[in-house]
Amino acid sequence: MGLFSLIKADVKFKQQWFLSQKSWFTRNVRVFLEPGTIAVIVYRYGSWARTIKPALLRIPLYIPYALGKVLVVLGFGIYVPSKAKIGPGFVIHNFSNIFISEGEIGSNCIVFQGVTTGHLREQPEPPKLGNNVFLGAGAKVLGSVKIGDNVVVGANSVVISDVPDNCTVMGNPARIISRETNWMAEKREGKKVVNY
Amino acid sequence: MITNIKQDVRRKAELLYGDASTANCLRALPHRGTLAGMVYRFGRQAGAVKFKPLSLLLKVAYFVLFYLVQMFTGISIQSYARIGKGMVVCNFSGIFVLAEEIGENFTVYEGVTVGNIRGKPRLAIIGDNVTLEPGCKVLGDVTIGDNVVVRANSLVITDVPANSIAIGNPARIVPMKTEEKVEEPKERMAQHG
Repeated sequence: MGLFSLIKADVKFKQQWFLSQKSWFTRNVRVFLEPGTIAVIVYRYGSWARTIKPALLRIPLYIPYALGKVLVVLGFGIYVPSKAKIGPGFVIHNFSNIFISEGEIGSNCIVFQGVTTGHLREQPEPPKLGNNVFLGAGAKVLGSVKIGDNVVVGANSVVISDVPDNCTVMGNPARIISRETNWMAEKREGKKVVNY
Repeated sequence: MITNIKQDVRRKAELLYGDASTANCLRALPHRGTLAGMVYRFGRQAGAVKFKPLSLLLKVAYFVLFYLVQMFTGISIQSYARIGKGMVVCNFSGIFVLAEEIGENFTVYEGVTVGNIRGKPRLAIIGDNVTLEPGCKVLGDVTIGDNVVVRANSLVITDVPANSIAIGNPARIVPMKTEEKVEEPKERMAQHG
C-alpha cells in the first residue's frame, strides 16, 4: 500500500471508533490535531522514506521526518521507530509514555497511553502482534511473545507469555479471562456491540 | 475561577511545604501541574460565559492553551468534567482526567487515567477527598465514594464505597482504618516538585 492509502486507513479507523461526537469539526479537523494521529502520520512518512531506492534521494526526505520526530518524541512522548512493520489501521489514542518496538504488528491495532511493547533481557526478539489487537491504557507487552488475532489486553496488565487468538487478558502477570473475544472483528463488520 | 485557582494553589502549597503561606504559594505556582489546573479552570470559565461571541473567542484561546499544556506537560484535564475546589496535580506526564463529576480536594499523580471504556453509558463519578496514586487507572461508569485512596498501579473497574482503599489489578477493596481517614501523610507528598 502506498503512503497516502495507509494514512487514510489509519485516520478512517480513528474516526470510526474513537470520536463519539459526530460534528464536522471533530471528524475533519480535530482528528488531525490529535497527538496520536500526528505520531502515526510521522511514522508512516518515515517508513515510506526508508523504502525509496536511491540512497541519495532519501537524505532530503529524512529532514522533515527528523523534525516531525522531534515534535512527536519531545512534545508528545510517543516513540514509534520507522523500522517497525505495522499494518493499515494503526491508531494511537492519547499520548505520553508510548513506546512501540520494532517488531511486527498486524492491521487494526489500537494503542492507548502508557503502552510499552519491547524486549526483555535475554529475549532479544521484540513481540509480534496479530490483527485486531487492543492494548488498553498502561498495558505492557514484554519479551519475545506472540499475540494472536482479536486479542484485548486490559488496562495496566503485563503480558510476558504467548496469548492465543480471541482472548481477553488482564492483570499482572496477565491471565486469560475470556476465550470468545471477537468484538473487534464484529464491530468492523457493522454489528453493534454493547458490552463484553 | 480566581477563587478556585487560589484554593488549588493553597492546597498544593499545604501538601508540599506544610503550610499555605504566601511564599509557599508562590513556590507552588510555576509547577506544571498548577499550570494545567489553571488552564482547566479557564476552560470551565470559557464554557460558562453567556455572551456567545466572547465565549467562542475564549474557547479558541482555551483550545490553544490546552494544546500547549498537553505538549509541554503531558497533562490533559478536559473541561468536560466538573471538578470541585482544591484540585492538586502532582508531577506531570501521562495524566488523563475525563469524568462526569469530581468532588473537592482531588489529588492526582502522574500516569493516572480516568476515562471511559467501550460500551459503558457514562464516565466516572468521584467523591470528595479522593487520592489517585501514580499509574492507577479508573475506567468505565464507576462511582467512587468520599475519602478513598486508590493505590499505585491498580485498575478500578467496579464501584468503590466511601472510606476505603482500592488496591490491585483488578482492584479489591480494603476498608480504611478510622485513624488515617481523610488525613494524607504529609511526608509522602513532600518529595515531589
